[in-house]
Amino acid sequence: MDNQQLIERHITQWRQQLRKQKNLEDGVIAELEDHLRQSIERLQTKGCSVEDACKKAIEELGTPADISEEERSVQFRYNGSYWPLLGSYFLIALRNIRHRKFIASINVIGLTLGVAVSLLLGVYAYDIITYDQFHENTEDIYFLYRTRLTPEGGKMDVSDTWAPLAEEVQKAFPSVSSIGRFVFAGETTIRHGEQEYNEGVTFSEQGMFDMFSFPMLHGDKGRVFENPRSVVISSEVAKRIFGDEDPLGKTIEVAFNEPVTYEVTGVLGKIPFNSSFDFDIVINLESRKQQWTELGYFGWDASFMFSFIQLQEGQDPKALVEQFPQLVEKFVTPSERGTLELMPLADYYDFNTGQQQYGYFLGYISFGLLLIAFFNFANLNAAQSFGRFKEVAVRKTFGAGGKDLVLQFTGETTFLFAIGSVLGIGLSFVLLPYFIDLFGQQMSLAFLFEPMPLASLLSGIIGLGLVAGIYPTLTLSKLRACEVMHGSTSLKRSGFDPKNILVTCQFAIAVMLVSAVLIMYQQINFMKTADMNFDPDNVLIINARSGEGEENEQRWAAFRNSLEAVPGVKSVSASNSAPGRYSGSFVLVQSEDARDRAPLDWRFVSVDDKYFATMDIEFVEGRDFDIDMRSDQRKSVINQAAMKQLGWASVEGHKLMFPDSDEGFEVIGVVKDFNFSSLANAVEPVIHVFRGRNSNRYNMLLVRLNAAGLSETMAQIESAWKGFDANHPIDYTFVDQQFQNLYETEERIGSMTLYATFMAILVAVLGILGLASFTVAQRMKEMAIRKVLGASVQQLLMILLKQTTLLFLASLLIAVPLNYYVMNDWLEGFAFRINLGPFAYLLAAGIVMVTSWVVLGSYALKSLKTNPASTLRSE
Amino acid sequence: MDFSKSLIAASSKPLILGILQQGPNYGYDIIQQIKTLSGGQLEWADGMLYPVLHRLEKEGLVTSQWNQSDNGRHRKYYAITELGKAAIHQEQEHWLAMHHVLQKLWSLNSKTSHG
Repeated sequence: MDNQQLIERHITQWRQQLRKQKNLEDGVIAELEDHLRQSIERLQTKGCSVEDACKKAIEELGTPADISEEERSVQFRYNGSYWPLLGSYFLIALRNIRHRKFIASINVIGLTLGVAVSLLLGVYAYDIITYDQFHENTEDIYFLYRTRLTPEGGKMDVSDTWAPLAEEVQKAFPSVSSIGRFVFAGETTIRHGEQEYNEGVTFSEQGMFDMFSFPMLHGDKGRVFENPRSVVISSEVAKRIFGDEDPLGKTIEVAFNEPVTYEVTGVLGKIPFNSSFDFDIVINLESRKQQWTELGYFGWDASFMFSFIQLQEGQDPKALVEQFPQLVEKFVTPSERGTLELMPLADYYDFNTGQQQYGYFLGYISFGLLLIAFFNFANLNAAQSFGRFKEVAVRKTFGAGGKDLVLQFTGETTFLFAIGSVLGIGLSFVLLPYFIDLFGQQMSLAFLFEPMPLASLLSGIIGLGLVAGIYPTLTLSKLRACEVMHGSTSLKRSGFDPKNILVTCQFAIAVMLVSAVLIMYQQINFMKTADMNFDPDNVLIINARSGEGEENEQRWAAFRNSLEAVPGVKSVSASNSAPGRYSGSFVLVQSEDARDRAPLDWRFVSVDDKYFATMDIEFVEGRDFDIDMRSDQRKSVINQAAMKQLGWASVEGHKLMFPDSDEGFEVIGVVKDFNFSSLANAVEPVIHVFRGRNSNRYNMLLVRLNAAGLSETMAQIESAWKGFDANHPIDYTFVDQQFQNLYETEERIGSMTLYATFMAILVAVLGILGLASFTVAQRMKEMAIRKVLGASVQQLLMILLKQTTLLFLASLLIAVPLNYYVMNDWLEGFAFRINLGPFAYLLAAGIVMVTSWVVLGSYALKSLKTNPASTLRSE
Repeated sequence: MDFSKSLIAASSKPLILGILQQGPNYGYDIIQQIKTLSGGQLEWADGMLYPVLHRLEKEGLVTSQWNQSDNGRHRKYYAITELGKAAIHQEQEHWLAMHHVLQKLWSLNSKTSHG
């Protein structure tokens, strides 16, 4: 090989190295190559061998990486286009990830997990918070309801109103643009041809469809109820009844006392899950008007409709509410009136369920999780940046300005942050089906791709990434190059360090979440195991009705007898209510000796003479109903809460009257306050009336069973059922199960919080681990010297753990009071609740502290076990 | 002599502009001139000159042009602009001012230490 070939080979190799620096343009490379060739020539003339000349010239020129970095700062400062820059940051960021695999992967993983879970919870929370707000007219739709005063001076909400009320309101106030009334009739038998179906029936009117934005798949939404005999069905019902045929124009028969045929005029599309209303079949209210009017339902004596009104845009509901009293005065008797109110549709869900708080609760958790992930990221990033002192110093030397460094470092951080966030968003899509499965809750993330959410998501990612990058960057760019080069700058070990604040916040959030989960489960457990003053175990509820007529009653009585004959059955009772599922009917009553006072609004329940014995409910006064005393069917048993409202010392000598009437109930007994609904609610007054054993008013049989031989007993009960109703399968549940179902929401929220907490701890632990790796690296030398001087590994470990523990203790100062405030507020919503003691907090603190000790300790121990000599020699 | 790197970074601008004031020139020769002028005391990594040249170009203090050299190779030549000439004056003022300050300080110091 001659000299020229040798030179060309060196230059080609060098050029290839340079080409790897993507930001170096061909022109720059050509210019450098020209320089290199001149250097080589000069060195050759000085007498160097070709080989030496090439090597020396290349060395003099400097490394490709250095040249590239310097060029980049020039390019960045003066190039209008940022794209090549982003490309180069991409490469640098990737290089950093490769160089610092451990920290960078912890950083990205922590962020990814945090973002994914936080996003899922956040979207779910948002869906709950915006319940019923998908209707275009949400802001102008109001629920028309009443409040009544209770004897204790409180207010009681009554959702139902009189059928003609909405019409009268529309007549009286021109600002009302539409009215929509509902009657929820429950499961009703529907026939099409030979087939029978049980579907949920709602009565409503055209105005409802005008007012609400329920999607109509088929049919003319503005005219579906032109014909009184028309129904709108859901697409599921359409599929069930009509299969793939076009349902429009087809007829179905609804089994009222006399069957009525309706024409299908509309098919509803999928209603968002965060809607208070969902329909199987909507029947035109108009079709029942005549019959209900004849029965007296469609007047001012019966209050059973849910009325909504829509005001013209921007109208103030207050103007109406002020005039409601005059309106009601014309039509309603004083005892029935109450105070009419208007409630914005957005508040309706919470009014009904009291569960909107969970939306905010989960929202806070989602935010807390995001904060942990973000703090984690910012912290690890800062720690990592401090490790790059030397790089900064070199670049400052070559004239890189503070601004360049800020941009470079912030850009890198933002980029890394974006990777983590985008992976997190991707992960949330992957997890979505599991989330839905796990919590049985519908939701969708599709909206993230709509312009507004997408834009705010992207700007959020970039904004947070910038914030995470700016703190260490500003500190770094102020560093004095020479100090760093001489190694005189190190991390501050004492005094104010923002990193400590972030770690403290992380700890605080983790402790708050853990204690929140503990307290929620304590409360749920308390409610599930509390003594409810009746025995909920081993009571079967069979859903059944006797039916009208003597023949049916006899069949029913026979069924009761056959049940009682089953060896494992202790007792059988018929009623229209069971604890956990109490009747929603109310009755107005007055004490005979206080007829001037406002009437009392009590829950009204029909039971037989075996009810209290079967449920094991204790009497505090008087006696139970007696089947042998026919007059007992005009008598009643009330609970202690009812007694308290009456202010009676004893039932002796008192009578309950209907308002404005000479009739009433004699009270023959008082039972202990037993919990017939969720322990979230106080025990309300309730009046039980006796209807004999076989009344058609009963819709369930309560069967107390022996705990032993349950499966055999159940088989016998099922065969008894076949004798009663061979056409339908037996439909049963258990009282205790029914009760557990009441806490479904609490349990769902509890388990969501639990998962979020696992995630929060995981992310926080990742963060502690990352910081530990940094601390250990920083203090390796110090530890090695201490070790040489005779300190034991345990002592060294203590030194490392001390700082973390101090930060942790500081975090408790924030976490405990804040959590106490929030959880106490949550518990306030339960009539029967646990008291907040130190247990949950101690346990939560213990869990978080021990977890971080273990993680930090095992990592530090591994590092400390290295031979001190090797550490000391390395510098 | 071992100049601190920050001093080199700060002085590169007046040095380069000063050399270009004598006429258009290319990177290799500029470095050689600086080395000669300093009697070998200024040692740069050669490659670091080019980013500085490119920066001066972006700032509008110099312009560049590819020319064919004597032996047929392409070579990039730099020339100073009017803006660059003005910048030299400014740099001169700064450095002279610094020079004066340091001189005063040192003469003061030597007087104190001798007196």
